[in-house]
Amino acid sequence: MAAVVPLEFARPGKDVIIKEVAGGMGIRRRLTDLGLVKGARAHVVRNDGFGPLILALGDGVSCCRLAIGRGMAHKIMVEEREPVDGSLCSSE
Amino acid sequence: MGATVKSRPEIQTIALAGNLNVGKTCIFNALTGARQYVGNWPGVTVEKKEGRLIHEGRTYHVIDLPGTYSLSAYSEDEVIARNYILFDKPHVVINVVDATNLERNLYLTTLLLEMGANVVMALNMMDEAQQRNIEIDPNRLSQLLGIPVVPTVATRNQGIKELIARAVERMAAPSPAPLKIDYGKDIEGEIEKLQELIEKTPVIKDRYPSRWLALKLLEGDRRVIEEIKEIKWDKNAEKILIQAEESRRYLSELLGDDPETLIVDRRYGFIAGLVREAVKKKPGVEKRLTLSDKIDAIVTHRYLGLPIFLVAMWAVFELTFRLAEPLSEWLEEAFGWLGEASAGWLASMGAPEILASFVKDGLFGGVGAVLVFIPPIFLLFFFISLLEDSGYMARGAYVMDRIMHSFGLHGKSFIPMLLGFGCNVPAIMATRTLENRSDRMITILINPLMSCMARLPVYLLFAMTFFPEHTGIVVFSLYLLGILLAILMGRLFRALFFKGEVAPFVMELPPYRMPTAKSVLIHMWDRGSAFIRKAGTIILAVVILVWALANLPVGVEYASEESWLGQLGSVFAPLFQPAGFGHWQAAVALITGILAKEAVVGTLGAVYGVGEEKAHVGILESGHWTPLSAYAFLVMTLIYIPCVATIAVIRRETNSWKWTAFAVAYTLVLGWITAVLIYQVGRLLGFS
Ligand SMILES: Nc1nc2c(ncn2[C@@H]2O[C@H](COP(=O)(O)OP(=O)(O)O)[C@@H](O)[C@H]2O)c(=O)[nH]1
Repeated sequence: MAAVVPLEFARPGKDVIIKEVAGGMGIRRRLTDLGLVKGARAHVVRNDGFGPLILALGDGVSCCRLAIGRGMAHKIMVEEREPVDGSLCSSE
Repeated sequence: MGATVKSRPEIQTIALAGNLNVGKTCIFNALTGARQYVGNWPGVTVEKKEGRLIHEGRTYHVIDLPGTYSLSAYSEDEVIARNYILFDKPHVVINVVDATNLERNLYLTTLLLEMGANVVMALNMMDEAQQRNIEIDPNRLSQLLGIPVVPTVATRNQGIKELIARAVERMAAPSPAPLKIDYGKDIEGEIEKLQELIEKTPVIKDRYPSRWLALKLLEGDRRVIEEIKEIKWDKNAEKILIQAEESRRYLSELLGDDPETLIVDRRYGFIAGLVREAVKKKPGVEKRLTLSDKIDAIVTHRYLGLPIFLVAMWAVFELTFRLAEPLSEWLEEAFGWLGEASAGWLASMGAPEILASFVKDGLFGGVGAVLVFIPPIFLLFFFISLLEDSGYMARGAYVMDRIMHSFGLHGKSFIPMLLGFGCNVPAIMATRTLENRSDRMITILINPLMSCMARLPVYLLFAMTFFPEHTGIVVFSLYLLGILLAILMGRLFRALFFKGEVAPFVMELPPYRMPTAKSVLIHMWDRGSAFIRKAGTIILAVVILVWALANLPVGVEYASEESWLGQLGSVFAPLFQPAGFGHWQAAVALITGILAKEAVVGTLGAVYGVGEEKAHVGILESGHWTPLSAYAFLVMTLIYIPCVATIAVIRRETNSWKWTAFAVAYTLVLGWITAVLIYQVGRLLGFS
């Protein structure tokens, strides 16, 4: 079982599963609207340790890219996974 | 038409709803053509776009709802869209959906359907979906959701006819029952309890679909709870709220999570099911990095991203103002000439001199003052629309977020601030991309502190006259002072009026697209024409007013000490004594500067009786000025009261006279304080 870490520290090239979103309703809402819900799987496209992160959010069909500010990434707890090959956007 | 439908007003309404960037504007234009008009939703800053569709001899009212991802109480946009669908009950809602991003788009669709809206789906961007090997079965989707689904390519007008036909057909049919997603035994049980109470309360039942309301109450939707609280006089309303509170508590304990999350999860579960069924073939093994990602790797690069963005912005800036300048000048000259000619004609007809002067300087001068803004504004919005449509603008905000954050601003605030160096008018209009109201208001309020191009001639006049050796530094220091004050005021306003954090930065990075000429032109036109319509009248009115002040009472010389303007200047002059420029000429120049900042130069030329070209001689020979008082005056010119066009656009964008008045007042006070400080401290330090 992989450790749960803030998204801020997720490494680029890995997949993450969203475990928990801390913070107020406003933040949660915003993430929810964009499809970042608990259990969703995403691929970390970019994380420079500086500036916002870029995630590829899976919906099984397309790959939309989300930029997420570091402050916010700090509040999202995720579990790192090895990427499933070829399924950048798998939505398990 | 359908006899089953209860009597409806003559003109039927079609509302457009959809996420951002899905092609809603394109579809709206395809439906309405040129028959559209723009206003504001009552009481808010959000733009309201309406139009007419004529189909088979009948007229339909088309309304473009703000682009939203959801329909909660998260933002003004969402509340507007929600209230419109709930209370204004459009006859049909066309839900524009991005086929390449189906899952996320369907979230809004399910919300619309749960609300009981009569939805027709425009499955847009089908060309891109095809390109990316996404095969969606519209018929299956239609069956599953129970609504017509029409594939479209809005940019090529494909599917629009069919869309209209389906929408019209749908209006005649009886309204469908709201969509019911199964939320699981536990949640359903609570929904039922609440629904029962709701059904027993006519005032509430008539206003809201009962299942929808029950769900919203379980989700703890602030807005809905507030609305129900307002119906307190019905004791059932109170009961409903108590039951909702109880149900929420019960569910949290039972399921170990707040009900909102649970409900949203279920909704996404339902959508995932839809997608599995309706998408025939998933794309083949997609390469990990798409072309978009490769471009992103460069333009959002840790070190390269910022310089690239700055160069792009600089290019937009240069192109706009270089191309616009000759056009504006030409327009100004043409209008000047027209004014002269009409005045001449009037004089030859024996009209009184004052009338001729009114026509020349008041009327044509006023219209000219509006027209000179057209080239820069349209060009600027042309380039910005180009960058936006290509998808690059979102990357710019990404790159700037970190830096702007340290100023207490949002990444998207950068563009308006930068544009402010060109002209504050389009800059303030560009704040529309900021979704959060607080961020937007702050960005609007501090924008006038960015030194626009019109202030440069004034800076140059004084700097070259009094600091011939250090002109560059003096001018640069003014720009810098403006930026520093903007940051300071931004922080202050956030602390005072707009408490709370900078809106969290989450935004979609849309895939890069080749912008189409049509869409770029539409976006440019939408914004540019809004300026003329709304700001034009205010500018015209103020120009005419100042003309009157400068020329009355009848017979005085233009802007002389005896004119009302001159008298007004004399009244205000003592106020500026502590800043070192307490003479009526300076006060008059500042008053006309409100028309347009560059007018300060011409006015000084006029009041010293030397003409605009020799203004510097007049200033020197008057003996009124010292280098220190000149600098204080420049600081005042930088900060005090934005020009009328800016004021007009602040009014338009904030939709509030109160905040407009505040912007005028705070800049005046801040300008005065800073000018006085500089003059007094300068004197203490031995400058003169
Ligand atoms: N390829 C393609 N592009 C489209 C289609 N519809 C709109 N677009 C483009 O998508 C972008 C956003 O469109 P717009 O109408 O402004 O979207 P809105 O934000 O929903 O109003 C523009 O660059 C359009 O040219 C379509 O069907 N296919």
